[in-house]
Amino acid sequence: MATLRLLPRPAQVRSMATLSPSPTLSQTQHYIDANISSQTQSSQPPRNPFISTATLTTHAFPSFEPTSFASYPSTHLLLPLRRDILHRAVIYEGDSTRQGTASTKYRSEVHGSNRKIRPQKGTGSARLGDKKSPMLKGGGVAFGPHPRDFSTDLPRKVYDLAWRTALSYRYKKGELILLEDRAEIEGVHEHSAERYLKDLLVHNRMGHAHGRTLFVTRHFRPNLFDALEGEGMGREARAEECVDVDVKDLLELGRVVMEKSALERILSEHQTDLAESEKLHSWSKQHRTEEKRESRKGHFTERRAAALA
Amino acid sequence: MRRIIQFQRSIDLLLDASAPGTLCTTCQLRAASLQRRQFSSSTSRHATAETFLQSLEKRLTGKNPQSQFAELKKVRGEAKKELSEEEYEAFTREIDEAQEAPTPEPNFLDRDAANNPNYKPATTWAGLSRVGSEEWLERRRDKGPPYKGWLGGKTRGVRADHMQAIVRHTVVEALALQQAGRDVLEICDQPRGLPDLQRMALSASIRVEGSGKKVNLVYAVPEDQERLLDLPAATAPKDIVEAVFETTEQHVDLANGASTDVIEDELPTKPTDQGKRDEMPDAKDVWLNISLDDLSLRFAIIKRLMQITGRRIPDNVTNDSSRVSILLGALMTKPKPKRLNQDLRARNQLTQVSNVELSAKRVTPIDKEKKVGRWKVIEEELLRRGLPVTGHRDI
Repeated sequence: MATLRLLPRPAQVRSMATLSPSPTLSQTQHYIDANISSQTQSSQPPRNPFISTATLTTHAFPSFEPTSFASYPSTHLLLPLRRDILHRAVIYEGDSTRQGTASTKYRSEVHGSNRKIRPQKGTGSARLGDKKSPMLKGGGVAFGPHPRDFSTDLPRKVYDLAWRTALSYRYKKGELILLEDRAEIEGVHEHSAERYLKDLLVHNRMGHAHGRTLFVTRHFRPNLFDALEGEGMGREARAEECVDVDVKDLLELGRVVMEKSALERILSEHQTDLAESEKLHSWSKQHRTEEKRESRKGHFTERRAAALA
Repeated sequence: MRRIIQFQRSIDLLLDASAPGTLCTTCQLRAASLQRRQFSSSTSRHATAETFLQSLEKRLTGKNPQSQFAELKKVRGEAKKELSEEEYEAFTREIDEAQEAPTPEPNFLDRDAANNPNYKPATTWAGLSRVGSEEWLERRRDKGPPYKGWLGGKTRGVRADHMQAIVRHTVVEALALQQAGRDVLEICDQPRGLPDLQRMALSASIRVEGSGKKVNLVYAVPEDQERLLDLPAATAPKDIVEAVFETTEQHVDLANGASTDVIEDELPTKPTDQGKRDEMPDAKDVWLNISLDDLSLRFAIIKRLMQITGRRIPDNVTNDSSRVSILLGALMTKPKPKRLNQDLRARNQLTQVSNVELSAKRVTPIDKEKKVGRWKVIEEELLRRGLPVTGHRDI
């Protein structure tokens, strides 16, 4: 951190003009330290006192044994429930997912001649033009669908807030389970993987009877994904990579089992509405620094107490 | 030729280690007769404390599984008193291995008409094994290990007073480890359900200073502190939970005025000495104010409680549990019923009203017809006419 220090003054130059008494170097430095240095040194904004911590238990896979705690800021996992924002995000995702390939033919696109079918007057029947009219059988469709893009726009910051709101909702309901390591079935024969996974879901109450489970992984996990492709496994659980998951997926099934690396990736990708100091990497750095400071303070207090005793 | 093929199949099934336990009667008979002719088996006998063990074996080979389990518990207690420590450990290891060992094959020669004059061939398929289905094939192909989770498969309902006792002794044990400078997570590895340890933990009084962050444990007997930390080797995890619940029930029932012939010690709710108020066990709710701001302590306590109750404690509860009272309140709260009819039944609302009926499922016209008794006739007539009973026919 830069400090403002005075350089030694050059040799005084005598002149005929009356000079006011100049302050000494130490007095000037004292003035700078008191009034100016504090403002220039603290270029970082003060810590937000309203940010608390959300604590999650990380589990081992596949035993789901708790291994440790992981902490995240309340700006990421303790957001209030905003149904309107979640609704907008789900509609936005649904719109962008639409294929938009429904197509019909207008009267101009229907195959046929433009010849007038019968004379304008004298037939006693209604006047008709060509046989491609939508009024006639075999004619075109008047205002039918045509392939088009149904995607809508949603401000990026609102969408990111929706992501974190969905995760916060799951966390508050106790339906967000964090895994310490990779969610992969290892040491199990491919013929047994499906049965093993089904037993896992039944044992941990995560299967169909308990609302199904979504596994979110950081990268593709071949054994887990293959096991879930079996017949009937779709009604027990689903697995997605974190790049393929939507807000709707996070809200759809009974619970979300997520790898820690996947959660951190999602939180890092969806925090554009936050200030730089509130983002995950800044918060983690600050949190670790504060933890070290607290532990050092604790040690210091104990040593001091021991010394006094 | 056909007879040889069947015989060969029996030998293969016998020798194949991955063959399923269910075989058809013919194969079992042939395999068993082959085994008798070619192989010999002998049971191994251990040379330690034979007389005592032999008498115990007789008691344990009763036919009724419930009486066997009850006997096993008594036997463990008696063996602990009679045998030395090493012999007791060897004895419990034998019992655990025997319990986990696969059951021996039954003697199928009794089912052979040539050997058993009372043999009658089955007239129905009840009790007979089925082979050849797709599920049977899948089970044969399945060579994988069974799934073993960390939490037990079944949860058990815990009474409110039991839950309080369990939380209290877990907190005391964790604090004892922490104050001794050891890793608090050791409480999850040790068989904390042993009666002595639990009694020591429950008899320790808790003094809380400040805002619950500084806690002092005062033991009724000074030697308890060392014994609480001097932990025996871990036994099978399933024993932990059973022992915890047994001893908790004993302690709590005693405090509530139940019979006193189970244990001699008392819970610290009664004062030990009327005159010495300072040395009395802690007041009723002091231990509830203990702070859980130390995340390592909180993690160890929560993990241990999950292990004992078999229930997963959600993260939102963990996050909010800055004090023991908050954690206990969350554990004692019953989950909200998911269905309206469950909620109404639980609150005993509308159950007494004569013109209101609660149903678990949506009541359809078919349910109404079934209630009246007309549905059988309707279904029969529809089938007779070749019409779809439910839904509509694809034309």
